[in-house]
Amino acid sequence: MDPIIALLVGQGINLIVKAVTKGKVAIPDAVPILQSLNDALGLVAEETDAERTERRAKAEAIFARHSTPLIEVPK
Amino acid sequence: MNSLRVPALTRSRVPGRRHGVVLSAVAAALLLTLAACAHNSFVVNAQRVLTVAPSIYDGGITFAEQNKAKLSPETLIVFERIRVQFPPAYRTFDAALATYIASGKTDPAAVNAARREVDSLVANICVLVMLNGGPDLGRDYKVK
Repeated sequence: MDPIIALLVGQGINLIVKAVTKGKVAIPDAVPILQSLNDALGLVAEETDAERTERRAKAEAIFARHSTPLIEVPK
Repeated sequence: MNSLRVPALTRSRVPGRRHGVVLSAVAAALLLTLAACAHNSFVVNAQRVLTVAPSIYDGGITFAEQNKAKLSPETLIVFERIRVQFPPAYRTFDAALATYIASGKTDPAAVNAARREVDSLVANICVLVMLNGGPDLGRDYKVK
């Protein structure tokens, strides 16, 4: 998740908790909690163009490494 | 002089009503944000598969190459088919995801179909390697 969205959602959670408990309870650390949840759920940012290029290059290097047939497959 | 006084419009104040409206607005905003994140997670999960799958392919084919003498011809034929089929399946999946992102993330059908193909090949590699006494390559393939 984008850090800014995480911050907004975290503050939203904080506001809701404060409102529900009439100010008795607040979660100022809602953002780190949310980020941990985020990691657990796999909600992270999409890859950048540079990361995509790097990933494709790595994959193609692997494919090139295994270009020799393992066995002659009958057709 | 009698003046006709129009009674002022008074709002009936219900205690906590304003609070409720604010809460509803915040909850709606949260829901929308989480929905946007769920949409985002589809792409992120697909990208994770695209990142991890070549490593599993690498591990599987390397295992087959190193254990060629011990593997049965039938097993080697299956490994060979996977070796040939995986790269185009991977590229198709990658291209389908790129098209999906470029087209505004509207129709994930092509991505799902291409991913199923890659998932199936990866699952076959993991099973083949394990059945032949190799490591559990699927341990790293946690994306569902």
